[in-house]
Amino acid sequence: MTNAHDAATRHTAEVEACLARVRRGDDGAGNELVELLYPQVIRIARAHLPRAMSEEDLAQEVFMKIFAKLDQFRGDTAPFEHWIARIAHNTCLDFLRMQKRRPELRYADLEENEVEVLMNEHSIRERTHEAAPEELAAREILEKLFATLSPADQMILRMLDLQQLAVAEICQQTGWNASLIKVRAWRARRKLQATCRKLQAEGQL
Amino acid sequence: MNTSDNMSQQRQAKDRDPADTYHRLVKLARRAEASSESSHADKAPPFFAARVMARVQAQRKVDRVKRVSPWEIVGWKAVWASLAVVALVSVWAGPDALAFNHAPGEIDLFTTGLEAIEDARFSGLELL
Repeated sequence: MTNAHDAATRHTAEVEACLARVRRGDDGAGNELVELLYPQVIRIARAHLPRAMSEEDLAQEVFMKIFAKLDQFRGDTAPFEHWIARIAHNTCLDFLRMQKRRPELRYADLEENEVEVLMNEHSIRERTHEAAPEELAAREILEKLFATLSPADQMILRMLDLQQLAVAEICQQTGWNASLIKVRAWRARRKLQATCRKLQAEGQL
Repeated sequence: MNTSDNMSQQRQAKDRDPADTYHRLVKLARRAEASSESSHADKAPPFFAARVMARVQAQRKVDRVKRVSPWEIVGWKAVWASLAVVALVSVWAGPDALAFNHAPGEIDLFTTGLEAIEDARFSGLELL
């Protein structure tokens, strides 16, 4: 725990030193800053990756925005990590908005293995290094279900349910209001639960 | 995580029906995510930082050009050119030559110019 805390403190100090050099116009420090921020940016990009876009392209777009807005960062309202997270989330949201939203998910849209996972209660197997086929199928169904939601609702459910972030963390990372997040999550979950019930009813016909 | 967050998460967990398909899918998908997370490297791929910085530099150049519009460049050039003409004329004919009201006997640039043209015309005619 102490080691992790020390590593985080060291990382923050490195980022701040690098940021100061970039602001002084040191181009070499820009490369170093990208290397230091890459893990944080790629995790966010990977979590909200829109279809037909590679995570590396999305990360590049995030970095372009970071460097374009670097002069606007004052550091008095939020730490640099939160500022980076907000830019990354907003960039993902912009790309999700550009993506065409699926109006409705039908039973016919599901693959055979997805139908099996949806219709049958799977016993949760022992955790292995590789993802089990039903786990991958479940992720595919969830992607299809999320595609029926608005981009902001998708992001909230991904962060709350898949990444298991606390509401306070989501507020810090996105700048959204806590009650808004809770209300949107509740409505989105209800919508997805209803869709699942509808799909199962269609499958039993 | 604060107390209200803890309480709301507990309430959500209590509300969840174990047979709820959405939450069953989430549970399975989370395991798939965990497996894929462990297989992903979080280190930037080779030349990623260099590619980003090249794009940043190119974008900065574009922004610099965009900031000064062509009209502005032409406008400022015109202003500097007219100032240079005024300065040259005032050096050549004296600052009073540019004034609108000329005292008698002073050089009037307009009249001097006309006289010069007339002279050139006559000398041209004489040559013919």
